[in-house]
Amino acid sequence: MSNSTELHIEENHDHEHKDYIGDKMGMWLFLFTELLLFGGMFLAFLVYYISFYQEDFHSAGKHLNVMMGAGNTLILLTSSLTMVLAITAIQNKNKFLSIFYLITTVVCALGFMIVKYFEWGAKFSHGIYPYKLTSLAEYFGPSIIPSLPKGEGIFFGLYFTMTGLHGFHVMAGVAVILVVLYKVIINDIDSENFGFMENVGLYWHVVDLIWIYLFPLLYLVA
Amino acid sequence: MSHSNDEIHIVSYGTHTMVYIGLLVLTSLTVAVAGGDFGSLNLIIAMVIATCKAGLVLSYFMHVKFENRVLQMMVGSAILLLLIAYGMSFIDYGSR
Repeated sequence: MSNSTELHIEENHDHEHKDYIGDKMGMWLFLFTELLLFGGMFLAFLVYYISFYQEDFHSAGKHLNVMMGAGNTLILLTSSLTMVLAITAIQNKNKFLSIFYLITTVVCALGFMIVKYFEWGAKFSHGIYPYKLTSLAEYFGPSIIPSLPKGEGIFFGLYFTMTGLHGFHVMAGVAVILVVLYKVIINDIDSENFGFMENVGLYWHVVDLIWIYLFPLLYLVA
Repeated sequence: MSHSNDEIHIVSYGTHTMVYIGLLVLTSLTVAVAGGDFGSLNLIIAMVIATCKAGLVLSYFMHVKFENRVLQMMVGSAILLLLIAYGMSFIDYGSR
């Protein structure tokens, strides 16, 4: 009883207790699981590429549009920059600059997904899509994947899985950055209390980190 | 627990912008190098450049350079674990 009274008093205190270091470590532990999730896929890619289907991976990689990949790298790097600038802005008590940078980050993330849409669309219209999705055949014609050499099929399988899962992470990133934006607007995040924003930033940079390796592996191996 | 606000290191706009420019330079470099034909070195060059970029993002954007020692060791050991998994897989496939 006395314990809960004490807690109650503490909660009403001006400075609400926050475990800043603990929050950050928890976020990093989650990011390590992300590292292993994508790390496993990169390992599968590298083993298939180096030990089994080097030629097939080269010829399949030529189907990818390097300009679109490089453009998306530029977009994602820019969004990473605006994310850290938004944090620096809030630490320097500049709320409006921070809001501007957060909106830029979201716009970049959506731009990335739009480029991805056109990229995947181009692949689909050439008949490059998972051939078990037979319902797509009426829009794009039959999938050419079964007629490709085995290694090329594996390349495109990995391509769709890795960029697809990465794209899912981009969309999740947009959702949490919008939550940060809302919290900044209602002053729930300010120059004293920005741990949540930093952790969302960390997540966003991991999305960028994954793309840093995806781009050269998928687009440039050819 | 002590309030740790005084330990927080604010990275300036300028530093972040410099890191961004560095990342852009490395990206152009990786695209330019991919055009050349260095045989099996192509993959290694691309991965070395990507790792430099990852190092910049980790150190500055993700703030690891300015974090306490425990967190730095956590990050280091997670990466080390991944590298061990990679190394053992390649010893396996490379020796078949």
